[in-house]
Amino acid sequence: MRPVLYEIKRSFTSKFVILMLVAIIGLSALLSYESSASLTVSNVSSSTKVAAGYFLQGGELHVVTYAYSSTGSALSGVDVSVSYNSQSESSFSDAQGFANFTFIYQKSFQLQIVNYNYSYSSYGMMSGGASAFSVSPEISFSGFDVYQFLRSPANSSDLGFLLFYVGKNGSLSPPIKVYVAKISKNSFPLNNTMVKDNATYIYSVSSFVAYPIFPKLTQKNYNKTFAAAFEIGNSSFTLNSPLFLGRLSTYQPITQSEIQSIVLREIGSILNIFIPLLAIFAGYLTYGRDKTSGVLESVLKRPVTKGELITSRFFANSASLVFAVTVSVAISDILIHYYLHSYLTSYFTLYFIWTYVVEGVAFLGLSYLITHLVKSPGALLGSSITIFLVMSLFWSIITFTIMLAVGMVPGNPSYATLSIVFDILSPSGFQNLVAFYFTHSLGLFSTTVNPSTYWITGSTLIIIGALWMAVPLFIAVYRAIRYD
Amino acid sequence: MIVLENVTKYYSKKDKPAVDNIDLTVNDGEILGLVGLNGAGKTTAIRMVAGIILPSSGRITVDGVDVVEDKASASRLTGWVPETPNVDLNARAISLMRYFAGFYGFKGDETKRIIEERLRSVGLTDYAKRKLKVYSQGMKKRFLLAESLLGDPQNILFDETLNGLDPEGVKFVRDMIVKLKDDGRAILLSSHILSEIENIADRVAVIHRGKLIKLLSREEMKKIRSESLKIIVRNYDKNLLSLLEEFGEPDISGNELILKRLKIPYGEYSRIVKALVEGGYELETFCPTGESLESYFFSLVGVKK
Repeated sequence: MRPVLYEIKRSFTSKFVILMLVAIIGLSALLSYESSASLTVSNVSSSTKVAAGYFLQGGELHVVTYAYSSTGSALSGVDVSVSYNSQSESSFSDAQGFANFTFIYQKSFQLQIVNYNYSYSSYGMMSGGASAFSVSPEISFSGFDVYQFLRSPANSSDLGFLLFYVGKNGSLSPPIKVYVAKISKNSFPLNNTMVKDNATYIYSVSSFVAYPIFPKLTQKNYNKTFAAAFEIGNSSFTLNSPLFLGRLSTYQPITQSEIQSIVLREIGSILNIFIPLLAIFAGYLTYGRDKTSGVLESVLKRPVTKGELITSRFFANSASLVFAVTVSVAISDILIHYYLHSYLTSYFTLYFIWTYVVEGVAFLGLSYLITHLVKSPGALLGSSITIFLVMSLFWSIITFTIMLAVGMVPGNPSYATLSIVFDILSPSGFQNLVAFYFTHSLGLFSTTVNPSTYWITGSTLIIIGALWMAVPLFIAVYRAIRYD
Repeated sequence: MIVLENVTKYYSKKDKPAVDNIDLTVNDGEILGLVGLNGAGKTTAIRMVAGIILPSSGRITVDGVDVVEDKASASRLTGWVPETPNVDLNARAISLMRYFAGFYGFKGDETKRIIEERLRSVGLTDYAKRKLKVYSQGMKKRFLLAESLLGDPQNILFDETLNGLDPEGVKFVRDMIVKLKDDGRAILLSSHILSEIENIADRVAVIHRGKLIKLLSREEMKKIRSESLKIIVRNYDKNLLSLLEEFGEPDISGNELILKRLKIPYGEYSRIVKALVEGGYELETFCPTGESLESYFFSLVGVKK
């Protein structure tokens, strides 16, 4: 095994590193989800619903209910109660979502109302709903019905609808064709044939009681309005006029700039704490502690120079940082795309990854550097904690306090300059510089200024980052070679 | 061959040097014993030869390769068995051996074969997959031997390796050191157990306060050894001391009497026996004493035993 592979394996299998990777990737994903999902406007209730129909057979009224989720899938255990003509029954929905009821049918020349209500437990709270349908004396079964506002399980901003059919004597549906067409103001008055002739989506379904349909939308159809026609046989439409579906997407266009702000604000806040933490303590656990306790000597006595050994371990530690940042950004990008239908630009993504790799590698370099300045594991651990607290966790508070103390407030000509200087002085400030570059907003007061006025350009960000990554490591290697 | 030329090591400019201008050569096929009190500079000297720390001045070469200028090549020629286990004790023996083997450029089956061979040579084959932290003290020492010999070095440094070992362990390591010497390797052996040094070293370097104060050949050691005699008689009396003062400096410890600084040559020891018998003493033990190097060492460094 090549030594560097062992170092990488050792770095990745450290309990602390595993814990940090899970925390960084998990929290980044959660925040991406939270930010993206909250921007997805939806009028779709996520609550449980119940569809109902009936058929008459042998002097009895059979009521068929189907409990379904917001995505149209069957739900078991929903408590359904049905009342008809002073008769009342209740039952729990089965694994297929069905709860069936039988009542003595009382003939009448008038419509008779069947009421049903349902309740279910959601996160320990009882919720429910109620509805009703009518039983016509001339019609022995309820037949075809459509329930709108389902949320697509594949893409939560896409909508669908549920086909529900209770046939004669409880039979399943005959073959039904579903036509979904885009409509415009010019389409009105609308009829079923127009929808059929202009259908964008056509579905053929049969032998069902409940069947959810989710038209697979392309981005150009997100803002379009749709209607549906349902045909049994070749020309018999089940409804007299098309069903107005409205928009089938809750997606609201969002600009790349807004997405970048979300990523910088949400994912950046997690990475800005956890990446330095991972870097400093991974450096301590896999290099510093070995160095100060003498374990590193068992490696140093091999045919390897001090410089090679340090850079090898540094590379292994850096690999875990790059992995953490890259995977976090990748998962965040996927989640953002899932909800907001837009990927981050590769330009921004590369800069974002660069930002936190710089921050992590710089703190790793500082960790290696202090390893060569102190003698004991205890002093090293204390120094590592101090570095993390001062240069990472409390850096913004420290700089804010200093700036206040010297009277630097927005509007002061030197405010921006001093803010940038502080951001350059610590690796944790580097992400502020990158955010400034992309958002033109600087400091705690979000002062709007042009970054190039202060020499903050893509090139200078690359140079500052490269210096932060190289200088601490270089000094550490120099001290190891020269003084150890 | 290990050569130290005018080697000095300062840990701090305020302090005296830990090693002060030492010249030393360990030849191939030779065991050089390195003795000295705690803090004398033995371990510092060994760590410099191993390439762990740099000399402040002077030159160290291993088979002609400068340890400072070409550390990697010098380390390939050197094995260092430290006093205490300085390896990652949370690692499994086999994993650590594979990692270390990577530095020597072994590949595939060769790595496996060499690791198995080294572990077998120290009797750890059955424990290869265990974590080192569950090893006993002796097993850890054996592992240190195996991993230090991984690259089949021509020059080997043993730093207090015999410390903390049971008699069986001491014998195992001693036999291994002698075998390595017989293979023609240069061996630098530091130990507090002077009798062991005396038994196996071809030469002994005495270091005190960083300085090399004496370099003894095997012949000189024999001479020192023969310059002291252990004498035990059954009917001890105070006249015995005055009788023996004619031949050397008698020193009594318990019922043992050590006769040091002998005034007569090795071939005339029978005169002492004759004097004792004629003086009416019942002689129980009469032999050159094994403590002579220790006594000599203490007299050299100026410390009373």
